[in-house]
Amino acid sequence: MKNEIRLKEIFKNHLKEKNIVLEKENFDEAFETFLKIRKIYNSILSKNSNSFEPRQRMFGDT
Amino acid sequence: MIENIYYSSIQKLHNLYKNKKISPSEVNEIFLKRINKHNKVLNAFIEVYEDESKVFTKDLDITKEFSILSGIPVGLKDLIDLKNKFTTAGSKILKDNLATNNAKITQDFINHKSIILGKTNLVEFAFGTLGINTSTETCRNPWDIKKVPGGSSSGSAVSVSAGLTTFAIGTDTGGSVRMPASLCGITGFKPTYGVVSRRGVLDLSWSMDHVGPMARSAEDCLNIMSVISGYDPKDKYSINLGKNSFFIDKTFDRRKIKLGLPKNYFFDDVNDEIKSNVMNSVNKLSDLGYQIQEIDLPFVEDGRNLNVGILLPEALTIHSEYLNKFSQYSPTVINRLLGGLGISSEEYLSASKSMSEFNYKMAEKMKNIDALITPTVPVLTPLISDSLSPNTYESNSMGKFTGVFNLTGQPSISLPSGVSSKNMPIGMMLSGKMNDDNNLLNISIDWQNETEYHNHIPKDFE
Repeated sequence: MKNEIRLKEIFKNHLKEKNIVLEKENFDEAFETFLKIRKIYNSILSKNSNSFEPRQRMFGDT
Repeated sequence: MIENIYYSSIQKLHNLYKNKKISPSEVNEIFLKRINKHNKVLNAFIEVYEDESKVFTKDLDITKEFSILSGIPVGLKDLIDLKNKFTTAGSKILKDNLATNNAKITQDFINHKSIILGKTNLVEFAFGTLGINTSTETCRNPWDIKKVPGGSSSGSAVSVSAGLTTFAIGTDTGGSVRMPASLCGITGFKPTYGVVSRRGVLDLSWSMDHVGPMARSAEDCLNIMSVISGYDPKDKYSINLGKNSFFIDKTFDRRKIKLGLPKNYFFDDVNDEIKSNVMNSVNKLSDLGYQIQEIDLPFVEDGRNLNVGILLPEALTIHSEYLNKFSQYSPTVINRLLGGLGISSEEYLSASKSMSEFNYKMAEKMKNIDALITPTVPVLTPLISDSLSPNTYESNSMGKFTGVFNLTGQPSISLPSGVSSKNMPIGMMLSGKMNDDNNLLNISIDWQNETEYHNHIPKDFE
């Protein structure tokens, strides 16, 4: 809960920086998406893929 | 069976032209009448080029040079530039965006004398999985007009499904060709990343965007690919598969084809009807002589997260020039887009490296198989009225399987495989090896030669 309040403040600041003002209903939906993406990134960042170059799709022998 | 012009295959229309049984202007009139009759309800086309197509086909009637796509009606998703016409991306923000050039694929259709009927509807800026668009009016699924068509290439799927055009072009960033194809009962093909040029097509995410055909069959998709594929030096993401990369392989032998059936993820948390439908198709493929091999993909559940995790900051970067007009976006789209705020360059780089690791693992798994068989989507088609929030269960789940192959860039196709108990189409997805697009299409053609699902037509549009 504490974390969510902190993230809500962060999200509000991002919106402020972009001069974006949302009505409550839209804010809640956008914040829900923001939380979802933070969760995705927490999962991505918990893994270490540093031995790979970014955005590769072809690999010599495969 | 497909017998009328609305649902004719490309090859059949081509033969009718060759044998002078019908002229391009007659075909054009038939489709324009059909669009006039049904588009008010379906909202499949945003703009129809009635006058231009009449002038164009009058000239075409007397031409002697006919390629496979000459005189074939096509709808272009409204992200694709046609010179001197608006490319709106289904948005209010770009309502005055006049294209100054043709997209590469538009030019291909012009060179091959296809009939460009108009621009098809889409989710605003192609940013959504269900097909909802409150800026242009949501288009409706011809199988049940109260239900969503799937997105984002909703109008392209609906126009083919209801026989308003012979084929259409869509774009696919997380499944936007294959999901609506599945929900509307047509065939949708996402080629290997870079095989079709994206020059002149508005970006959603440069790492994930693909352009592909939506048609009534895999054979139609192959005929379209033979025209629109090819290296484009003006598209930095373009790749070259070599000349004549798309053809019916006369040496094709299904007994030599290995199909991978994932043991995990693709059959977990899937609606029971969809699961049982796709497993029936797997059994049928096995009966036909295909080798079915169970396969473990322990890493695969990260795929959709990586797809979304990379797509969103890229989309936000592309949209940075429009964000000052945030009130002109439809709420569903802006509320989803803003979720990507605050992702740092370090985080994005880390996700891009994870993408490579994921793709390496998938490439290793694909070494011994020709294609993976999975459902296209895990959920049944929802009602439009239940789909207005960007965070519904269906909206969040719809791209769970398709997005994996935008990340890897593998060729991937959705094929009709029957209908649900509520008579809504269900799609099966085959995903092949990188650059092995022709093999994947030949497997799909072989499947459709043995089945009738792709010939089913929504009952109100027969």
